[in-house]
Amino acid sequence: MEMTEERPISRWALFWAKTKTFFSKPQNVILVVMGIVCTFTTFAPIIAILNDTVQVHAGTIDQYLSGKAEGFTLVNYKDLFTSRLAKTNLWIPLLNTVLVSVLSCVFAILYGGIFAFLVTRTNLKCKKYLSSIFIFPYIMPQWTLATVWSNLFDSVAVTGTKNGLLAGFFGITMPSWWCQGLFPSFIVLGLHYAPFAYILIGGIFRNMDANLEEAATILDTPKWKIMTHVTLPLVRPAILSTILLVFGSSMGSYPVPHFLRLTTLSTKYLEMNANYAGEASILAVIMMLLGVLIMYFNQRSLKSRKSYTTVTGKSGQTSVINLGKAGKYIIGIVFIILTFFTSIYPIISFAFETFLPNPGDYSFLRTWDFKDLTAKWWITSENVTENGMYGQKGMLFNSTIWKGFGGTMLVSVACALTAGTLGTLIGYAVSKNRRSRLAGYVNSVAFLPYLMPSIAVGIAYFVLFSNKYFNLYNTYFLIILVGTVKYIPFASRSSLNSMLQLSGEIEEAAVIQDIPWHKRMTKIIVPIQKSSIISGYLLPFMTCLRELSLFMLLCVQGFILSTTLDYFDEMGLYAFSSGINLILIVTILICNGLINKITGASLDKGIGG
Amino acid sequence: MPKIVLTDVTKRWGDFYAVDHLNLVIDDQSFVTLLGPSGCGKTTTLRMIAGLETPTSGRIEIGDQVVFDSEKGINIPANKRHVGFLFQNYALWPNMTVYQNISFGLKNSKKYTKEQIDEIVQRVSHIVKIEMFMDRYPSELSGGQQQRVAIARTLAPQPQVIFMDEPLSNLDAKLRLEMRAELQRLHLDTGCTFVYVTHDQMEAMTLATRICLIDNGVLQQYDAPLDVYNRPNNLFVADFVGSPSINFVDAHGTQVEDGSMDFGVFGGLKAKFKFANKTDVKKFREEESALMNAKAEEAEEASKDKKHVEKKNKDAKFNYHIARVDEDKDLSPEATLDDYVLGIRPETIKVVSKGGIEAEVYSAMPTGMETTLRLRIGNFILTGVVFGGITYKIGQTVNIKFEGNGISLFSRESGRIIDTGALEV
Repeated sequence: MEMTEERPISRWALFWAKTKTFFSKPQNVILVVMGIVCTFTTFAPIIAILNDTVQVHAGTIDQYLSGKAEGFTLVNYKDLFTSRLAKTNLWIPLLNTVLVSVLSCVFAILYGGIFAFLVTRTNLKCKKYLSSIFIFPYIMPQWTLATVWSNLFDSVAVTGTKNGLLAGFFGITMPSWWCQGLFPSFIVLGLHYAPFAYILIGGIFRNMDANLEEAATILDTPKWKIMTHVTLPLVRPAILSTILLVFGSSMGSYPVPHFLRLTTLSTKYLEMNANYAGEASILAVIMMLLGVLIMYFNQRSLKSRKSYTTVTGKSGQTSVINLGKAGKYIIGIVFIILTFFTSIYPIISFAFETFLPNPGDYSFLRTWDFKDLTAKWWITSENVTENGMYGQKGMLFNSTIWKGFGGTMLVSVACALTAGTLGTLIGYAVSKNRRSRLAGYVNSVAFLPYLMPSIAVGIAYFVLFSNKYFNLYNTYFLIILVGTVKYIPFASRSSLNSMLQLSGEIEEAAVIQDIPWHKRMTKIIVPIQKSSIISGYLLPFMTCLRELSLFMLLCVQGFILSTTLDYFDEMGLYAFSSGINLILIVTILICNGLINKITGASLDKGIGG
Repeated sequence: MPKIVLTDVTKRWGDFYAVDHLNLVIDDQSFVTLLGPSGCGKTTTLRMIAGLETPTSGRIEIGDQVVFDSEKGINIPANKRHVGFLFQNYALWPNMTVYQNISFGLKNSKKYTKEQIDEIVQRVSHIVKIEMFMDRYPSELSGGQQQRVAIARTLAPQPQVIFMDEPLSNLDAKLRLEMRAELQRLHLDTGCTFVYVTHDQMEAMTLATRICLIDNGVLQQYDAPLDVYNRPNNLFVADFVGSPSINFVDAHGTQVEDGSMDFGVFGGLKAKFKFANKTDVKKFREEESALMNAKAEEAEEASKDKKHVEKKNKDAKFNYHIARVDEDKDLSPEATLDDYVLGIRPETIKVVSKGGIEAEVYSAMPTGMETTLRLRIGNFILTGVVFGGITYKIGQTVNIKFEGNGISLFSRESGRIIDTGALEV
């Protein structure tokens, strides 16, 4: 052979050749680029916030305590953990946070899980209506139900605010623990996240191979034993995902405890931020630690999870449990009533509130006279200081509101586009390199922001980008950046899940025929994965529209709609905050409906993935 | 023209060796099947040649082009290797019609005009008889039709080499037979080199011009189908190929002066084995031990290399199975140099009216064309195939003989074949 004189090539040339081969695959390029980007966007804020806890802030308490004008000090930790105020500033909020998160989880799983079981496994009536109405609370802003709760149960006598519907109309006053604090907070958060439990657990119930249960039935196992020994263990992974999700989200929630006056780490943070900046950052670190802790537990159970994923594609008819002739109607009606209060009543209530002449003036319900209603909150077109308008124009003409609306739309669309695209690419690249360590790293580092409480992520970016070197405070760029980082996990998860179901051969068949990457993507992968990819865009968009916790520290109050709402609420213009809620809910419902009609994708598909 | 050469190709994941130092030459226009039990590395081999998997080390050439060389860092991507690949699950694009599926690859190369593409699609779809389905989507086709579309799509860009990964395993038995015949015809019509992965030895026997038998990532034998059948390299190959399986018989004895072997078989019967060719067992033993030493040395050498990773899925000696009435008792004593294993194909066992040895009919399964007999000699059971519709009674005594020169003799020490020959009992 004439090959005899070949010499081994130099090490560098070999390295170069290998690198070139590595980068000739688009998925590797995506992984490397996203690895670098996500490392920065995820870890930089964490480092910044850790740094902030030991930095001396001029003009705040730590300067006074440490006696230094700049430099580093541990005095913040010492003061927060050991001072006289430790109980009010740290331990009580921490306890409340943990309590509210745990109870929300339990409530969401019970409510959503039972509903999922009823819808998928029994002959309940009105399943179709119920299952679409059930996810409304998640689509609506978190604080919706909190304000509904206040509108229903508040009273001058107990809470010292305006009279709610119950007190104003029926003259019933609920006790204080019912109106404010821990109880309503976890109920509201639980209701808000129950759709997650429903979608995740219901997904497994639906796809579970009926043979598994039938096998047990044939062995003459009692029904309850099948439930506890076969069915529930199979649902375990879904329950774990729900816990992960609900715990992390409710821990970082600001609006719900804020409206319902519960002191948690997130509300305490905002309280302390001005004068105790360093100590507030420690609270943020604690929240992040809690998030990481939950992720660690989830990761551990994920490892043993392999043996549980017996969900096959070949699900036959699942056996339907008979609720009895009356039972199927009675339980159906119970749920119709329950979902009316969680899903439809808020919309009516918000609409109604915007026509009340004064907050808490429900005289219309007694007189049914339209003179007792007013449209002034909507149509006042000039500056008036009387009528309780505080010099604001009516909502239809209020430039602050419509500017906020425009800002929200811009932010949501931009976040959805960037997070959706990047997330889809990550999902694609990770699914192509299942075994590689880099893919595992990119996947988890892109997923990490999902588990960090929104408020903590907001804080981190505030610290990072609002200082003497950078000042991006109150810019769309910053908000979109934060939104993208926080929402990439939505898209990457839904795209990874569906890409993993797509046999690699589908793309390889195109590779073999020398079809370029962009064509493989646009002509094969994207068309096949259309609906899950759209979900990957839809989820960030919907979530972004109603996001408050994440953005509230990064912009002034009129910048986007959710912060505008907060502003009017604090001002006492309750009709305005209700009106803005209504605008948001209607916008989200219209968008969801439109996208569902046009593409067939919907929110619930993406979460269930 | 494309001749495929694999030199010392290894693929491992961690310490699991999927393919272990494989050397293989696939001639132009041949039809080679990669055969082996599931998980033996055959699909991995195929995917490495096609470029869908990157070998850990080694070198692969297709035609006169080196497509992979770990030492030089050459790795030509799959799309530049100009090969065809037929996937096990067909991998048809569900969002495209049959026509679009077939033409998609052609539209991307600027070589063809629209009319030419039409013509090619016409031609290939005519070959596999799917002209009438052009506007259907894959989900609207049956398994066999999908299979044909996949073949048409593979043929369309006119590759010189076509790789097939268990293309028939998803079809029902009847369709599989039909498609098998069509693939054979296709091989002749196109003049392409076919490399075909299967775990079905019947498929491999009937289709291939050469069979490449792999076990645990190691090449066991690479020969024409009938050579693999008649002269298996070792006990594993003998056992894997052939249905009903070959009979293994332990034999103890030595070579006598006239060159034949005197054996004790079936727990005491005397037998004489005459080699088909002149064979010196002593010489074979010398070679055998030299070979084993060389292997051990090589392994030691390799373990000195820092980069060497020990093979976790170690190559174990093939555990051949001797059928007995009392299966649970393990009678095989330690192997000595006087221990051998005879491999007797079922069809070499003949029922004769007298002479030979006596055996009791343990079970008889007539199919009409032939009868599969299980015969009991003492504690041992032999499987034989007798042609013609003869009815045997269970428990009946028959006389049997071993016919022809096709009995294989293996060394028990290494499991390798010594030679074939005739056996007289």
